[in-house]
Parts: sequence; structure tokens; C-alpha cells
Amino acid sequence: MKDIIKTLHPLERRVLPKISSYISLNEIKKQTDLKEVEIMRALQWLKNKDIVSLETKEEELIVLDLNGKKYLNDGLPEQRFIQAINNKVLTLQQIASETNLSMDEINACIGILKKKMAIEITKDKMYLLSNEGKKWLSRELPEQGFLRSLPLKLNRLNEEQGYLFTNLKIRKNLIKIEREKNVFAKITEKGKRLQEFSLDEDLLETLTPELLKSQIWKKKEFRHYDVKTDVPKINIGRIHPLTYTINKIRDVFLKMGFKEMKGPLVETTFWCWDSMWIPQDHPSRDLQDTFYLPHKGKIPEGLAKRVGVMHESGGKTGSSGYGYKWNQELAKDLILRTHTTATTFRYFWEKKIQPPAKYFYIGRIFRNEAIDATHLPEFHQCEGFIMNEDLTLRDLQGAIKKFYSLMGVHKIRFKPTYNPYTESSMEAIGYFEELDSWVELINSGIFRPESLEPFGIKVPVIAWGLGVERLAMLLHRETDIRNILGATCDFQRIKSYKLKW
Amino acid sequence: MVTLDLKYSRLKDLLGKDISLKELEFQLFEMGMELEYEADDLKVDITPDRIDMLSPQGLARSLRAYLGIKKGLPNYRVKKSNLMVIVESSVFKVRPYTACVLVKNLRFNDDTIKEMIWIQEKLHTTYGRNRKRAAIGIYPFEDIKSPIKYLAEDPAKIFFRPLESNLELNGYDILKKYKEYAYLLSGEKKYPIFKDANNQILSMPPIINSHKLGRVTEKTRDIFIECSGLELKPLKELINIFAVMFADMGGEIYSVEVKYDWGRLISPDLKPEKRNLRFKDIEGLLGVCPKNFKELLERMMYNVISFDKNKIVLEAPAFRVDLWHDVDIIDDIARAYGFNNFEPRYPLVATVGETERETGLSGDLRDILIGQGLSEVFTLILTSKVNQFEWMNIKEFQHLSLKESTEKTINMVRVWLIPDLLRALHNNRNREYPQDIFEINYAIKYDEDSEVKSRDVLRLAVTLCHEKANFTMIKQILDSLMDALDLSYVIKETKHSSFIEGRVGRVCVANKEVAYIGEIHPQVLINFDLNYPVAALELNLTELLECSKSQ
Repeated sequence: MKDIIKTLHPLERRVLPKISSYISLNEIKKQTDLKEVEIMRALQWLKNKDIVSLETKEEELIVLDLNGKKYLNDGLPEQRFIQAINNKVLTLQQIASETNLSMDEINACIGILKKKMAIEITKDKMYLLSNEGKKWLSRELPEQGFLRSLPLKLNRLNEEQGYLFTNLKIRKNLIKIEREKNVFAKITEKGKRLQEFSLDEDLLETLTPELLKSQIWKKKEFRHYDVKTDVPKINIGRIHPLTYTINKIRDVFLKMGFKEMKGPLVETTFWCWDSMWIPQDHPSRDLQDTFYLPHKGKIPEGLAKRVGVMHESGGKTGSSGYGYKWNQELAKDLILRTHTTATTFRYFWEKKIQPPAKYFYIGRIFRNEAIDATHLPEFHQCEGFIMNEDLTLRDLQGAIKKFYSLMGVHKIRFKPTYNPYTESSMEAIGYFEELDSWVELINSGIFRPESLEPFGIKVPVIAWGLGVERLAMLLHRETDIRNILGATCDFQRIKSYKLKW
Repeated sequence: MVTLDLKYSRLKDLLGKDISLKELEFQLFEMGMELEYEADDLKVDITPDRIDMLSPQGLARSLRAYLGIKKGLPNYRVKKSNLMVIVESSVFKVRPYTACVLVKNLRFNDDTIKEMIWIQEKLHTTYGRNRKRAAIGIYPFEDIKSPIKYLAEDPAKIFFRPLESNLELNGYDILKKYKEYAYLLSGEKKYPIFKDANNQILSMPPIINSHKLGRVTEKTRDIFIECSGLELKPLKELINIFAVMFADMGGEIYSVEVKYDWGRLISPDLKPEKRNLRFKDIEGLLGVCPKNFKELLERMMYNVISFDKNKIVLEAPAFRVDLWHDVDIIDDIARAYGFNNFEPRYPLVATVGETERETGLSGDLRDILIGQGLSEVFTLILTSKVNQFEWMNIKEFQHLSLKESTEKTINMVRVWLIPDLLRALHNNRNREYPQDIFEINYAIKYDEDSEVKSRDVLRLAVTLCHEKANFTMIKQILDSLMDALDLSYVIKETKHSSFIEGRVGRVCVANKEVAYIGEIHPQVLINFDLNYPVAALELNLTELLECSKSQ
């Protein structure tokens, strides 16, 4: 018992003695000067300690409505009607001007007062009070008293109140019924025993600097907390789940010794497609699939010529080429880049990369799509390449395997596929243990001779890439891409995603 | 990916062998295809380079070899016909090329006619690039009189009844009626037509066949196929593909002589292509040279004619369109070998990892902002003029707009980030406050001098949104950032109609204007339907990086 007493919060100490066998929160409120929230908190804590049990009851309460509030102040219309006539004999107009009541109210009054037999009407439509009516000149109508006694509990009305309630209920906006939740506390056996002890033990509450200095803490005991109790959530700042995913990927590339690249979001079609031997009539180049900008860009002339030859005849690579006439003007259209490989080829040219080299890039790309749960017009792609002597399909598989395993995926399958600028090309499908499923995530390949030749690259280049949002969705078990990227985000989700560790 | 729909039972018939769905799925996966199935309906995803497999016959042909049912190069005999197609110079300006074939002794039923039309349409939309690159016409040959002419004529003089139509129409009206592909001819003075020796019109490519001569029925036995387009190569390839497909349906292939001004073309040409493959190149690409290369090649429909210690001499099928280079044949060897049968090895290439400077800076600043309880958002670069300018209470200035967009809510590339942060706040009005957020990301600036007419600008934006958000608080954040960056700055008074007048400043570092800071204008808050004040800051990090480089 002593131990329990040590854990009692000052609020609990004040509330506990008030709890008889069964008491409502409102009653406690009347007996103490505590606020409702404070009592509620105290009761909740006491309940956690099994000192009280709580019960929530819904009660129906009769309260004043709009007109009721008005009439409580000004008096009920019929009361005013009676006061206006007094000992006189009046016409309705006279009564109306005397009382300031509307004709609707006057008519209602006549009905009510007739029923009470409080008025008499002469043949020429003059109104005077009956003897019964005159009684109410000096007394208050019971209806008026009822209004004043509100709020009342519906199920606690006596007979007279019940009668008045039925009468007033049918009148317009006089009274209404509200449901009120009330909390009732009941002392438990444990609580009863506890109440026998003195609760004003002198315990320390907050450890203040003064207290610390005064050394009082050496002589007294601190109140014990209920360390098991739940605490309110705090508003924290976090990095976005997509940044989190991007950081994870970047970490993996850095661990593998890759250097980061950066390239423009707006590209010429040359760098996005032509440079890597994607033919000019390739379907992805359609206006419906790519965002075109109303401008033309510049491309390196000499390189463009060599690239053109590659498209037309394959040059000296031994390739047949595509056998069409390459149009340099088409390669100058400006677009929002559709893949990060555009930057890879820019690096081949601008940085004159020499083997051995390993580079990676995580960047934004664009596709002309409508927004829905699985599509956005922009998203992120990551891509890495290795340039060195003697790299083969087996090396590409080995590199992807390492990359995947550093991401925590250990079982993979390869599926051959087709990319215009790589041969061989393959997808790497990973087994995600948490999801218990195989997910097609990585696309990869060995750059074709036709795509490397114009850059004078004589050694193999192997490369792979994946969609970042897709990975983020997998990691965070998110099914709607709009929660991963865009102003459509939900702050609650951003702050509560789980770490991968 | 292109999807081939076919029946499981039909495929088994064509294979001449029973195969379980599980086994089929595995083998297709190994070949580079994906299978979905439901009861007897199969959907096979085929990569767009292998259009020779884009028919039940084509898929079965490849599978028969791959599964070892019938290995090696499929043999197709081409007989000579007397049919001649004369190409007149009038078509050179519109649609200059055609290649043709004649197939005899076919048996059609309702299903095979539907199948044929399905394949024709699939090839139109894929390899035919929606009929622009190539359009295919198939005609019952019985009523056609040789020689056929391919010519261009005045549309007013073209007059025939289009397929499945009731009326005879002239060229102009036909183009009006069949709108889908009309753009391919609109504006031309003359339209191309095929016409036989009796002056009957076969079709007006690439729009529509004639009802009289261009309608294959169950009674049809012999068919004439033409393929027209802008370059000859894809036409010859498509004709080869159709020829072998109809041969697989039981037909006999007959060649057609196509006479051009510059010479003559005999099509189809199904003569296998002889290629030399060096062992060195196989090992160079795959990292291993499989000893059973002959069997592997035969399972991919090649014939090995001979080999020595350096090279293999082989024959490749004429209906493959994707064998540009030796690497394409070597890749076929890998597919037969099995991509999952190679032994992966990690390439030991020693290089040093390194990040871009922007990456490091963004990460450091992100840490500082998170430390102050702010949360990061990640928004789109694509946005709208309404968002970037109108709702922000400012006049439009130079930016990059999009030519066309499927998503109707976007029409430009953003120039600044604060509008997107305000949108994020709008979308989270029902969430707990305070809502203090930031983003470090790109906007794109128009730049006349750049080769891509633009510059990516890395920006940092912060918005504080709650009952008491004010200038002091946002300036405290600016202070914390500048202090960490070890930069001193001055704030100049300025006017900016996105902000409250007298509560907005221009932040300058080393005489360069790098940021705006202030309290957002109430009208802007109303435009974004926000209920609390917002104090905001937007800093140009690219500019800062350039400052620090020049110092």
C-alpha cells in the first residue's frame, strides 16, 4: 500500500478521497476546484492502478433551446399576455402592441390560455382575464419555473415536471434534448483499503534547481511515477522516407567505391536517346510519352556525326545499323530527361572517363503520365556503371549480386530482356523476405558496341539501374506512390515510417 | 513489352507436344518472356525486338527449337510466281517503298481469320509504328490480275468502296472517314494506291483496303500481301515474318517481283544469312564459352555450318530483325545456356567512392533543420503557372513551359519551392500543428546561353505554419543555417507581393542575393486555403556554392 501511495500524483491525492462507492465526474468537480481534464486524468491514472473502476454513461439532458433562452429572460408569451390585460378589456391589436409579441405568438398564447381557462372572449372579440387567469397575475406560471430549473435529467423527472416537459416539448425551439456523456467512478476493494491510509505524505514532486541546491532531496522521498503509463506523442522532425531510401542506395554505391554523377534535368534528345543508339522512331520518343519543351538545344557536331553513322550503318563496329536516314535536327529537341543514362553518356563525353572507372547517379526523371496511385509524371532512378577491361555478363551478375546483398536482398534470379542500347540485357529479380515475394527491380546490361564506338570507348561498360520510388514503396510497404513523392504527402506518415536496420 | 494472346491448347497443338503451364512459364522466363495465364488463355509478354514471335506460329517456332523439339534453322521454300508489282515514281514523295509476297494453298476458318487480323494490327502498332513506318495489306489473290501497280493519284480520282463499308467514296472522303491514320496522308497532293491490271483498286495505304479486293474470307485459298512504308528495310523484314507465319499455317510461299525505277526487288528473301562468330567474342561478352555452343545455337534456330578453333560459321534465320551485331547472336547463346546458369563473379575494379558537393551540403543542412524539429517534404518539379505565380500573388516571369502534358494539373517546370510547400501544408490542414517543414531540391531556371536552355538550381525552402509563426522564428532558422555555413549575411528591405509588405527581406551573401525571407501575404494564404500564418524562407544553394567556389 505504501508503495502505491508513493506513486500517487497530487491530482490523484485530491480526487481519491472524494470517491465514494459510486460518483460522477461532475459531482467530483462540484466538490473540488479541479478542472474537468485534471479530474479525468487523475481518474484514468487511478484506474490504471486498479484503485477505481470507470464507467461511461450517456444521459439525456433537457436543456434550453433558442426561444427558451429568450423567454427565460423576457418571460413566456402567455405570461406577458396575462400581464398586458391585467384588469382591462383589450383587443388583440392592443395586446400585441402592449406585449411586443408577433401574431404567431399571440395565436399560440390564445390556444394555451384557453386551455388553462385563463381568458374570456366577449362577443365583439375583446379579451379579458377569467378568475382563474387573475391568479397568475401575481404568480409565476409553472412552465416558466420549469425553464428556470433546466438542465434536468430526462429520466429523473417527477410527475409535474413530466407533464410540463410534454407540453413544452411540442412548442417551437423552447427546449431540446442533449446527450451528455458522464463518467462515473467506483472505488475498488484495493481503493477502499487505500482510502484508510493518509494520503498527505510529504513527497517531492519536481526536482527544481532550488531543491537540488537546498539538499532537501537527501531527506525526503520523491513521488513515484507510474512508469508504465502511456505518454502523449511528440511532434518530431524527420527526413523524408524517399530521402531515406536515396541515402541507403547512395551508401551502397559508396561502399562499392562508386563516384557520384550529376547531370541536367533538361536534355536534348541527342543525349537522352540518339547518343546511345536509340533509334529516332523509337516509341518512347512520342509526344505522348515524353515532355517536350518549346526550345531547341545545342549538340556537339563532331560527335553527332559519328552517332549518326552508327544509326545509319553501324560504322566500323561490324553492326548493320538501323538502315534509316538519321536526322540531326531531331536530336536537338529539348525534353525533360526520361532516364539517367543520358547523364552517363554525357560523362563519357564531357569527363572523358578512362578505365578503370565506377560511377553512379541517383536523379529525377520524367514521363508524360497522368497522376494516379501507381504513376507520377516524375520519379527517381538510380544507375551505376563500371568501365574496365574484360568485363562480361558474369561480372555484371556479380556486381548486381553484391549490390542487392548490400541492400539486404540475397536471393536473385536473372531474366534476359531487351534494351536498345545494351546487349546482353537482363532484369534482376530479387526475393524480398519481408514481403515473401520476388520483385522485378533492377534492369541492366552491357553497353552495345554501337553506343560506345562514337565515344572512342574500347573496353566494356556494364551498367544497372532501378526505380527509387518503387524500392521506397517496397521498403515502407506503401501502395500509393503519391505518399512517397509530391505535395500530396501526409505529414503523419512522413514522421512515422519505420527504419530499416 | 508487347503482349501476345493465345490459347494454351492452340500452343500445344502448334508445338506438337504437351507441356505443363509451370514448365512453359519457366522456359519462357529463361528465353526472356513473361507468361500470365487463366484457364486456357495465355498472355505472353514479348520484348519488342522479337516481333517474329508475335504470332502463335512465331512463338511456337521459337519454342520448338528452344525445347529441342525441332532444333536448327527452320527451312522455308520460296517458289517463283509470275506476279509483278510495278512501283511508279509518283509514290516516291508520299510513301515510296513496298515489299510483297504471295502465299498459296491456305485454309482459313473464322478463328484463323481473326488471328490473322489480330497479328496484322499488333504489328501495325508496334514494329509498324502505328502504320507510319510500315502498313500491311492482305488480299485474296483469286480476283487480282497481274501486274499490280503501286502509284499515287489525285484523291479526287480515287474511287472505291472501303472494307466493311457500304458506299463508294473518293480519296478525300475516305481520309475523312478513317481519321485515326489520316494524319499520315493529310496535306499530300496525291494519295498512294495499289491497283491491279484491270484497274481495280486494292487499297489506299496506309488507310484502308477495298471491300471488293481486300477482304479475306473462309473461301480464300491464295493471298497477296504488300507492305508499304518510308524505308525499305523494315518492309522486307515484315514481309519475311508474314511469309514464314503463313507457311507455318500450311501455305506455300511464292516470291513477287517488285519493279522500281532504280531496279528490282524479289521478295521475300528468306535465304539464311551467313555469319562468322569468333570464340574470343563469345567469351568476351559472356565470360565463358560454352562447350555445347552448337546445340545452344541450334536451340535458337541457327544452323552451325562449320567451326575451327577461332570461329563458328553459322546461318541465321532471315525472319529475325534484331541481329544487328554479333553480340545479338552471342546473347542468344546466353539465353539457350540459361542466364541463371552462369557463375557470377564480382569485378575487382579498385576505385574510390565519392559524392557530389551538392549531396554533402544538402545532407548537412538537412541535419541542421531536422535538429530544429522541422520535417522534410519531397515534392514534384512539375507544376502549374497558377501555383507558381497566380496563387503566389506575383506576375509571371520567364520559365520553362511544357509543350503537352497528359496530366492536366501541370504545365511548367517550377522556378521556386515555397508554392509546393504551401500545397503540402494545404493537404495536411487536418494534421497536428505546428507544421514546420522544409525541402532541399531542384527548380529549373531558363537560361538562353546554356546548351539545354536551362540551369538546374538547388534550392532550400522552409515554411513555419502555426498560430504564432512569425518573422523572428524564420530568421532564427536562417541564422542557424548561415552560422553553420560560416557565412555572414545582410538583409535588405525589399518588396515581394507573395509576402506581407514591410515583413520581407532579401538576404545577401558577399553582395549576391541568395534568399527571400518573410511572412507570407494573407491573400496567398487564402489562395492556398490555409488557416494559420506562414513564415517562409527560400535559399538558392547553387548560388551559395558558386560564391564559395569563387572565394
